[in-house]
Amino acid sequence: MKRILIALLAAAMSGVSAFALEAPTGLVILTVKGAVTNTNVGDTAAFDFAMLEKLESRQAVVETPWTTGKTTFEGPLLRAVLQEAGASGKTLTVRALNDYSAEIPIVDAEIATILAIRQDGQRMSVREKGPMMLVYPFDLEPGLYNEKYFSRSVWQIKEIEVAK
Amino acid sequence: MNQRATVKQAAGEGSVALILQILCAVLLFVLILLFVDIARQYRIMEDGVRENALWSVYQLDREVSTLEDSLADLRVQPASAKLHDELALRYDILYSRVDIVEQGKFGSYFADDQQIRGLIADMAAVVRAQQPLFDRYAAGRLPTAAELDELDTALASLALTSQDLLIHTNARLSHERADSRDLILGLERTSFVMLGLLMASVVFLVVTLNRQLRSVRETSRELEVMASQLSEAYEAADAGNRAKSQFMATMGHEIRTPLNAILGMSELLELSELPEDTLYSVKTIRSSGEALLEVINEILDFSKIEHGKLELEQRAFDVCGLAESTVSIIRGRAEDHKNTVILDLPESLNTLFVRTDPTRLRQVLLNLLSNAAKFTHDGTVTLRLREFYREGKLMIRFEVEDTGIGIDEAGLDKLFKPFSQVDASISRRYGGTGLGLTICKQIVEKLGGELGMSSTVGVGSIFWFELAVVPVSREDIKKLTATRDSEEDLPRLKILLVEDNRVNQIVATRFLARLGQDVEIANDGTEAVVLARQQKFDLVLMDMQMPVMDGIEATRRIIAERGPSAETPIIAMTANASDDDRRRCLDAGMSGFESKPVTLERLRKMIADATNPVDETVLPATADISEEAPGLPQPDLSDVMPLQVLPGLGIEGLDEARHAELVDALGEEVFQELVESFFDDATSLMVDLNQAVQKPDPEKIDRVLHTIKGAAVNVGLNEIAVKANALRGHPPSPAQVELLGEEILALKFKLVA
Repeated sequence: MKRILIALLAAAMSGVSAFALEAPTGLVILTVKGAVTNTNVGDTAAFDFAMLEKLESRQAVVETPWTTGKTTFEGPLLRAVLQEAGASGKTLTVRALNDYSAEIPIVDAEIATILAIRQDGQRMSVREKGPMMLVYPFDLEPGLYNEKYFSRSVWQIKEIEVAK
Repeated sequence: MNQRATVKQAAGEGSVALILQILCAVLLFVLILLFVDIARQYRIMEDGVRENALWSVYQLDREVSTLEDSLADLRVQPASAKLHDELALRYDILYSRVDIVEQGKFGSYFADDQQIRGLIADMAAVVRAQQPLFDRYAAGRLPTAAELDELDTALASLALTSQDLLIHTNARLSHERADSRDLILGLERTSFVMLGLLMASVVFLVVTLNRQLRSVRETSRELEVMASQLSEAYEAADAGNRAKSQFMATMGHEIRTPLNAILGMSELLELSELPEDTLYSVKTIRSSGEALLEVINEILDFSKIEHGKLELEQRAFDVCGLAESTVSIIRGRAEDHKNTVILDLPESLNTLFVRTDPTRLRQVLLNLLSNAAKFTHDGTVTLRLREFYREGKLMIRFEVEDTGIGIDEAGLDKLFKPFSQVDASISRRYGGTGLGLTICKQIVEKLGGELGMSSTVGVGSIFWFELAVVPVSREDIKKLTATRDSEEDLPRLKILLVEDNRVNQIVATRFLARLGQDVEIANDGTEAVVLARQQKFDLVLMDMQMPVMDGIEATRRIIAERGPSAETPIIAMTANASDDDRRRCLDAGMSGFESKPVTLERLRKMIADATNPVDETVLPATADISEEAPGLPQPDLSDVMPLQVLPGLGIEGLDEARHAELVDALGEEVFQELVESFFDDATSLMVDLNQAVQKPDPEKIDRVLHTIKGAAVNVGLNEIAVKANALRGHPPSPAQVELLGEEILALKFKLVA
């Protein structure tokens, strides 16, 4: 898995380095900066809702400490977003609207971690922890259900910084 | 003492086992408790997988402050659109924060605390009250100054509530942390106690195991000691047993030596002219001596069998001949009890030569027959032989049937047990060692056969045994006959007799003189060596036990000195006829071995063998029959007791075996004289008988008939003896007496040419 990802990342970096990300047409909700090669706004990769919806996604039906009962989260896979941005590095710093941030090792992107943009089918507003929330696959790997991953589960995400 | 210790130890082991069991149960219990405890701790940890309440409340408080700051910025620059947007975003974030605190999963202490719930509800109400303002802004209408003032006031109260919530949450959390620490401490304490228990159990277990091990070592040491004591005891017992065997052998020898002298002398006495009553006494002496010898031999035989030292030989012989001669030996005894002895031989067995141990076979037959004769009065004793094939092997079945007292079932059980007789009164009435049947059974089994019996009280018994035999080919039979012929004429030898016992010297000398031999006497081994150095002898008869120098040593010297008699065959004579002795004799260089008492027949054969060596394994069968069995010298009862005969057994009314024996012992001339004198006597006796019949005088009739019978048997005229005997018991008619007289006359013409 890791190798595939690295290979993908490497491919994104070298072979497809000329590939330029299309410019966002709607409101930018996510900015990926730092070690990224596919840029569209300055030296960052900016994504609007439509761009994110086009990426490989997954639906996760999970319980979280911040929601009541089982909740369906849906959104692009973290690794798909990183690949789209041509990101390569070791850690990600995920920042929220309120400037809360968490450092995430890049291996967390190898599993089915998603950047949820829909909750129970609805777009997430800022009042409902939107516009974007990092959701770990607690449904696939129950071992992740602990404080370590809770603190990494950033909501109201606005940007991701990739560090080498 | 040892036993008590063992009992104590056993009790100790029982309690130790109980303690161990309890310990194991306790250990198990402790382990279960520990597991439950660990499970509980784990559950507590599971419960702990919760969002951090304090952090959330702090975030909420912070968002309130941020919103306040943002509002303050806007009031400074009311026209800034960016600041308006910022304010709206901050409100949204606060809104989500309130949501989180309201809905999120926190510890129960947080969710269940009424005060906390109240504070949160207050805050949520205040925040939600501002929602229309921001919704309107989102729709495009800017908030008025008054509205902002109102928001400012609301936020001021919200900040206070939020602070309260933060402080209260912190206090509650500290309280909770202390509680949880207490719980963990408690758990730790319990774990510690259980661990202590566990360790104590393990220590106890180790100690107990150690003790067990020590006791096992102790026990094994005790066992070793016991084993060595046992083996010592066994050795002592074995030594005792060996001493007993040695004693038996020595006693056997010591008793047999003088007995040999007694028997030999009485045998000689019988041959001399004696008044009838003296002759009778002498015969009684001899028969008693022979009976005694039989008992001794039985005991020695039994001890030999008991020690597994019974050795068998394989010789060819005539089964019928053996049966006949055995029956003839027993006839006398049977006669004493007024029994008829019947020998039932099938034609097919006539002149059948087989190879097995004739000596032992005859021993068994004699024993069974003499038992039958002993326990039967006025009846019949039958020896029946039948041949048959089993699994392709030739088998002979020997049956001894009597019409005697019989044996009941209780008696049958005791029958084959050593030293037991059917009941105590039997041994008083009939005598005997009670070993006979045991020996018979052992011998038959050793010969590869089977011995059994059936009996009915008051009707009689049948003792039988079946033996696999090897038939001998015609060639071998011819060879035997040839050997026998060569024995007929005995050479005159110069014989050195080495014998310390004066009586034995006389016996042997007389026998040898009768056999026409020249005899030189040496009184001990030393004399023998000296004589052998001076002269050349043809044969040396060497006694084994002698003062000064024994037979073995003398033999060695004679051979070692290489004198004129160094090559002379030396034959050992001893009453101590063990296999070991036999080996020692042969080792010393002796060429033969004879057990005492030595009879004329044996001496004769020895002399014959000395000049004309015969293959030891194929000895003449018929000669064997007239011989006494080595190791079990059978009393030659035919001399003393009358014989009976069945039709077809005697040839021309003369018992061939007896004839040969007499001729062998006395020579043909003497035998002829004997026969002639018998007929002379018979003539006068017949006169007496006729007178007695006419009177009639039953007592005299019987006496005369008895005399005729005895005299007839003496010379082997068995047919006359049978007929004379048949007339006894009831007064015979004159016609019968006449018939007997004619019979005698007829034989006289046949024999006395």
